Amino acid sequence: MARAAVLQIPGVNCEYETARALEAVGIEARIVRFNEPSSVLSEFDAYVLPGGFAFQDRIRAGAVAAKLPAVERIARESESGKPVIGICNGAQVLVETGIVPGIHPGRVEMALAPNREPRRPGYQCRWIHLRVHDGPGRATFASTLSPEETVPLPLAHGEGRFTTADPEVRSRIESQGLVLFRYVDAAGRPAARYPDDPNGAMFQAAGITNVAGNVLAFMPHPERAAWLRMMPQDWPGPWGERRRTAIGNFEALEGPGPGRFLFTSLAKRLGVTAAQGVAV
Amino acid sequence: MSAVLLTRLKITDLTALTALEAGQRMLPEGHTLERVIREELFLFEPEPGADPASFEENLRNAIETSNFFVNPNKERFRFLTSGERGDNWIPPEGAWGILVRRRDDTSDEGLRARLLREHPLPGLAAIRRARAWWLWTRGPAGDPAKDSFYERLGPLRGPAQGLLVNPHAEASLMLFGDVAWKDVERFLAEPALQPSAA
Amino acid sequence: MPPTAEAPVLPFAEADPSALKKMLAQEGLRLAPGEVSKMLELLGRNPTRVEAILFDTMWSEHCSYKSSRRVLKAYLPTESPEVILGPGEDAGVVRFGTHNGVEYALVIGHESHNHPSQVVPVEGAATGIGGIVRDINCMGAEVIGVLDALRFGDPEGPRAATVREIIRGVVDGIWQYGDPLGVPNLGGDVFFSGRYDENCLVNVVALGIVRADQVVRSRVPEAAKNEPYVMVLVGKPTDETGFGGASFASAILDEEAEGQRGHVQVPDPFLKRVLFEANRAALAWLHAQGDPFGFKDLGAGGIACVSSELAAAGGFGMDVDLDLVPTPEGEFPSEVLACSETQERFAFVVPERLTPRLLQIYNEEYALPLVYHRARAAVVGRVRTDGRYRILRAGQAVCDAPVEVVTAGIEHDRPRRQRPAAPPAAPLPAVRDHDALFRKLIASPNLASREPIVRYYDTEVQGRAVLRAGEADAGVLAPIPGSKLGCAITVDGNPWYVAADPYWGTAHVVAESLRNLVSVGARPIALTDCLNFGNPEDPEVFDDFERSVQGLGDAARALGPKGAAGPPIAIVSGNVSFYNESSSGRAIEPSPIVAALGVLDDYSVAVTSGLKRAGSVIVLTGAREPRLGASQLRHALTGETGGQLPTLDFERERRRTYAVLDAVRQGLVLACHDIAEGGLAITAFEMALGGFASQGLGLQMPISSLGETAPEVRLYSEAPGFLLEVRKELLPRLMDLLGKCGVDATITGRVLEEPRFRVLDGGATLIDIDLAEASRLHSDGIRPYVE
Repeated sequence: MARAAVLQIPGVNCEYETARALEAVGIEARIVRFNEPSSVLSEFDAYVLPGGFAFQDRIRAGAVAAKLPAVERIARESESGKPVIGICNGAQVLVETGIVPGIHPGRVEMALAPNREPRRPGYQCRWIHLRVHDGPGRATFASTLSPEETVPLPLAHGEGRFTTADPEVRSRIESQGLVLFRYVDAAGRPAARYPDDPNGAMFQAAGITNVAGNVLAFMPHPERAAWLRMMPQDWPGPWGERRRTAIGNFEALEGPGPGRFLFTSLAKRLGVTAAQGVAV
Repeated sequence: MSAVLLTRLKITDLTALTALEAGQRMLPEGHTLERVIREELFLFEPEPGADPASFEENLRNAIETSNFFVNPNKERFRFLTSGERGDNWIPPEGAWGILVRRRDDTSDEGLRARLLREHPLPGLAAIRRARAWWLWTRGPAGDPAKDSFYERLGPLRGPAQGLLVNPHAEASLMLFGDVAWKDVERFLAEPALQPSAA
Repeated sequence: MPPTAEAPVLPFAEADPSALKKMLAQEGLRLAPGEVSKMLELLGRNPTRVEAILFDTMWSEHCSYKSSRRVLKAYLPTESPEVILGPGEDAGVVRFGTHNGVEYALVIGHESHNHPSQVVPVEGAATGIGGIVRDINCMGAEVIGVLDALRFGDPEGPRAATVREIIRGVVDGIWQYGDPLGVPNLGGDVFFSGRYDENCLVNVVALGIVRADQVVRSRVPEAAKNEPYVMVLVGKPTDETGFGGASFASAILDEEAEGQRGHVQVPDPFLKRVLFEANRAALAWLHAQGDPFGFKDLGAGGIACVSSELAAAGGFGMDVDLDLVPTPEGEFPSEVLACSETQERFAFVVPERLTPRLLQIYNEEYALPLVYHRARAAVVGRVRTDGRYRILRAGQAVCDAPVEVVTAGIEHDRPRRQRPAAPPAAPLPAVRDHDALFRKLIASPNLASREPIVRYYDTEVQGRAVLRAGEADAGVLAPIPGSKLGCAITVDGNPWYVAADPYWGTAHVVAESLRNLVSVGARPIALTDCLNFGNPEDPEVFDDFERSVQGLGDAARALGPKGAAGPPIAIVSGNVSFYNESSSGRAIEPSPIVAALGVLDDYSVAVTSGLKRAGSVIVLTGAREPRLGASQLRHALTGETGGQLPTLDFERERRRTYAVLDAVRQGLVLACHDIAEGGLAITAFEMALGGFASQGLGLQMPISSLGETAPEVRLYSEAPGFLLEVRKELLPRLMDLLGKCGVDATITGRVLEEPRFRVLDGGATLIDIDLAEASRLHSDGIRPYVE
């Protein structure tokens, strides 16, 4: 049985649905408090830093959490190749530790800056689309997702703009295929403008991995789309159509939604067989 | 020639307290971080040719009679006109500072547009924003050891190095002593700064 | 009791009327002279300062319902087979259903935070949410959603600048509190009207879920007779923020309010999130121990109110020691420690032997002192079995009375006088250009899209969403993972209706809230209300209030599934907010706001209001009628809001409402939208647009079969009804079902493949608009006031 730790830093608020999404694909998930002895963390095969507002985004989103011993421990565990996913605020924490993108180990090479939006910038909660691209992270985080598929997902953040001030880092992020997920429009074309491009991130990046491909900083919320019932009923495209067709069909609505791929891909990577995956 | 508004919390500033605690944990033996104060800075740039006196009077009025910039329930403020504030920004007694701005354009167009809709301010060209951290520090030799603290708590380089600035999104200006306001103005007005170090 | 430095006594008994008035003002007390006499009589002596403040708080309108209680008791049904716990505690509790052998209950509460939001909009609105979610959590429940009903002034009116500042502040307060807390926003409603220029309304509703056998009561349990019980205070350190809060909530807003900013509470959603997590762990551990315990949140009146109410509710007394109360640095007077409304606090009453572990959960595992400066859990009180209630400071009693004296309550009988009848409304000018009128209406503040507000709200967190704010007439959740059980919730109110006719206007509000529930396939099980009115000492205002409550009660009885003969839709929780008026003394429009809660045995049947399939048919039920009083049309054409309301026939409305419920539950409809503000045209347009997303379909609507009245009557009459989208092949079954229930039905349109909205009347095309363009007009309507 593969085991994943969902790290509960004070202020995170997505730990329960994240754990449920992991359990749904047969990964045993445990919510681990930030101040449990950090040796506890070594027992796990994978780690998720869930969304929320760790330490109230004091100083900067992710800044304080990045210095926690528990996060340091997870960073160390990731060096042995264990998968780590940071979702939304978790992504901000990972970027602040420097393990993503990790081109020059031990250095912080990116930031998740405030969204660039027309009119009033700031926090927004909306559904967007993305597509997967090839890169070192594909095998771990998107092995079950086709590059032709347009995936609708919700996002909810004020600081989601991947950016770096280092031109070398920028070009290597691109050339080494670290931009695993990019925002696209409903038809699957690169997102050219707001709101398809929700925040102005470099390369329209929704998710960036480290060089080794086992750590993912991901801004949208796949756990909020892991079941079909979470899909907005009037959404255009195939996922919307699946949702509409499932009106009145409880079993179908309890089946996988567009965000499930991330969890099934992770389960596959951890050697969980399909039979172990159960709907929760 | 610009007017400056500085605000700080009058209730407990948990962000400053967290910066203090997180900073203390990052320091080696012999380095003491004694106190941290956070101040938000708004710089109001008049259009060329605007009359500073009437521009600043209108602005003062807008600040004092609305909740637009200052939440009187939580914040206190200082409004410094170009005439009153002197040539230099002087740090609080015993402190030195780090001024942090966004790396891309600091002007807050949305804020300006909203302000103008509700408080007509003829001659307002831009509102720029930044955050000042004031630190009270003591190094192993008993002096403030500003360089050493800046190195450890300033721009983020690695997981254990740097805290208050992420140079990939932000730029910083050292406020090690009195700083000329014109240098502050220049620091805020420059477009898309390159990081001081990456 | 001798006066001491710790317990100064206020010599009210010796004061003549003018001296008393002066003393009350000096102490910041809002007690009326008659109330002072009653306090002196109850105590049998002069009060200490702490006691006077405690009575002042307990007898504020906000806490005592002193003006409203008689009326509420007389008219509102509060019991039904669905109800586990009606009004009386912090929130109502109703049956939800059983999953895997465990019975679950839903917990619902409804509050206002109007005056604070007018003065300091961000903190005011945030604290509104902060308070109501505590009410839910302290019943032992997990909070699973919040909704807000907001009433703002005219954003284009004479006070536009202030009104817009308040709109932005309130919206900021809601999202900046609700999002970090991790509670999804399930919807709400927004209404703009000039009479809110100087007094906005911020009403909040919160919903929770709890195992039915783990509902926690707010009282010292019986077991405290047999072993020592203590009170444990949990959360933020007590300080002066929010001192005087309850009296403030009941005060008329005036220029003086500028000086009252220090009274407003400082909310902290981050600490609340950590507290919720710690409470979850603490409650689970306490339930596992099996010892009875009590739990309550701190609101108005702070430690003094919570401790005396916990004690009195169980028939006990208490000693509270202020020296044990955690505070920030500094010295605080006894009355501040005892009565301040500092946010983010809870109180337990537990057996003393359980306290070491309970404190460990908060102070070590969830590390309160680390996450928030000086926050912690501490034992601050001890239950007494003799009914005596004391607050101690440095060993001295600063309050000492039998507990029933402190919690005795007070009641006033307010005179009423019916308003003179309004002159009949002027006839409406004829509409020449329907296309132009339609474009104007869809961008008007009360009909424009709420998307500019909603996009700041986290609608997704917790992963329980089935239908969200803006997607459908009600928000729908699947709260229990793996269970078919769903719940739906909506909040409604139409101030122009209630101003035109308090009784029928309020009845319309109830009817609409139930229509919203059945539109998503939910069976109504409970209502809550928040009654926002002007000064109750004004006989006309009080008459509005009483007639409105009558309408609320009658509608809740008449619109139960079996009508007045069967059980009502019980009103399980509520709130009254008086003194909502401007500096010149003009009351707001009478504003009862009603939330309705429903249950879906299988959430999968829920449908949105968005059109689903090209070629399907639109069916109207609910005849259009020429009574256009208080309608959006009348306002758009004349700037006035009076006139005769549409007819509300309870029996017809009930039959139609439950017939539509059956239709949705049987899967006969693809989309359903109730008709309310803006009438048929706006309802149909919203369906064509889709609330949350759009597939790019359109709608063609011929209205010639809807009677002989003027087109604007057919298009904009707000007579109750529904629009249903139905597949052609299911049309006969739908018509059959409606017919059997005795409900009218007319085919009114068909769904187009292209994104156009078209209204035809005989040979004439009244409206023909590209939906992309219409969507821009609609979504930019209120954007400048929000962004």
